[in-house]
Amino acid sequence: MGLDQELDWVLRARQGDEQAFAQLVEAYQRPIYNLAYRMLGSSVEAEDATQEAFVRIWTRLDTYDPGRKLSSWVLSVASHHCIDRLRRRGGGQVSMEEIMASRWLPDGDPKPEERALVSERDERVRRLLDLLQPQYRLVIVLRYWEDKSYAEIAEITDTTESAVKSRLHRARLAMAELLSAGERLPIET
Amino acid sequence: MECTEALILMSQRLDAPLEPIDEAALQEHLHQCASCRRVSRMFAELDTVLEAEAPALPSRGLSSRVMARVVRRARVDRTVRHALITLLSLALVVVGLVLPAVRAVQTANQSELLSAVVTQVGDEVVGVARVLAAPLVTVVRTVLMNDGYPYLLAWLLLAVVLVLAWVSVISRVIRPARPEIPINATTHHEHRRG
Repeated sequence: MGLDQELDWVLRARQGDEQAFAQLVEAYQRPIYNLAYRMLGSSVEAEDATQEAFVRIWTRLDTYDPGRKLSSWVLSVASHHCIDRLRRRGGGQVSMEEIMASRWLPDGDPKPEERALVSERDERVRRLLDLLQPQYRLVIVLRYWEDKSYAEIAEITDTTESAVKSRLHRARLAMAELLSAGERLPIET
Repeated sequence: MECTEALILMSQRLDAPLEPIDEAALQEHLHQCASCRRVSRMFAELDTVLEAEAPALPSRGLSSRVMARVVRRARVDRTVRHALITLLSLALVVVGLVLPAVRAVQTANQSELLSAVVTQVGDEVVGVARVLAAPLVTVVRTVLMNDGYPYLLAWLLLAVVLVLAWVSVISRVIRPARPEIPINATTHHEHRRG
């Protein structure tokens, strides 16, 4: 998929060409869905968030700067949408300080019908991510599942590379502590 | 090297190799610091867990559902935009065309009823019209100051030209509706990035 091809899709979509926008959807549905799933922790909510993120992208195409990498812009819109959802959801996250102080694991059990669909490994990762505040969770997702560089993560998250390194380091430290504690301590259910 | 600096380097080397001088300094610190060695092992374990986790994949047909929602939203946007333009058009026609035409009739003394209406309402509205379209109103009023049908017909002709021009503008503003785009659902197979 060439950059010129993507830009052509964007320019046509700006003129109302839904066929061109459908090509963008095909190209970016997977990274956006994965981002939403890792951020929100639910396949149902991730699907809805993906749809709504693309609606946002459609309605904001005029604000896209062609000088900017399209994938970064698309993921930025989706990231902001996911963080908005998490804020509306309220609570749910534990501060980094609380995690480091208590080193406990929450129950966070999925519903029975969902539990059967989630592998043990997937569940463990979800539990780790769920404890991070959104801005920490986001850099981990972009680093591990979207293969983004520090510079790209900084662009997507509207911050600096230095802040990205700091968030990655703190998030890893918290998750590593939890992972280590999870192996020694029984998980409360 | 302080433990804080060592922790940052341990995190960074999971993303990319460190500069040789940094790697050497870190190794020296790890050799001396049991606490950081423990964290280093924990980081490696975490990295393995996260790297092994495949990307979550959307269910089949997501792109079709996305486009269905986008098309619905686009239609709503078009409807709202169309309604606003229609209202604006009606307001423009009333203020810019109908009222001056009524004034023309009044000037020609063809209808006492219309004259009464204009007397009651017209002056105030025409005052607004004068502000909104001062140059046009000035020309129209000048024309209509003279009695007689020829001037009224000339005004109606001008009105038709204006309406046609407005319709032309609207047709450029409103995007043509397109049929929904059927998208073939694709089946994705999980694979881990290299």
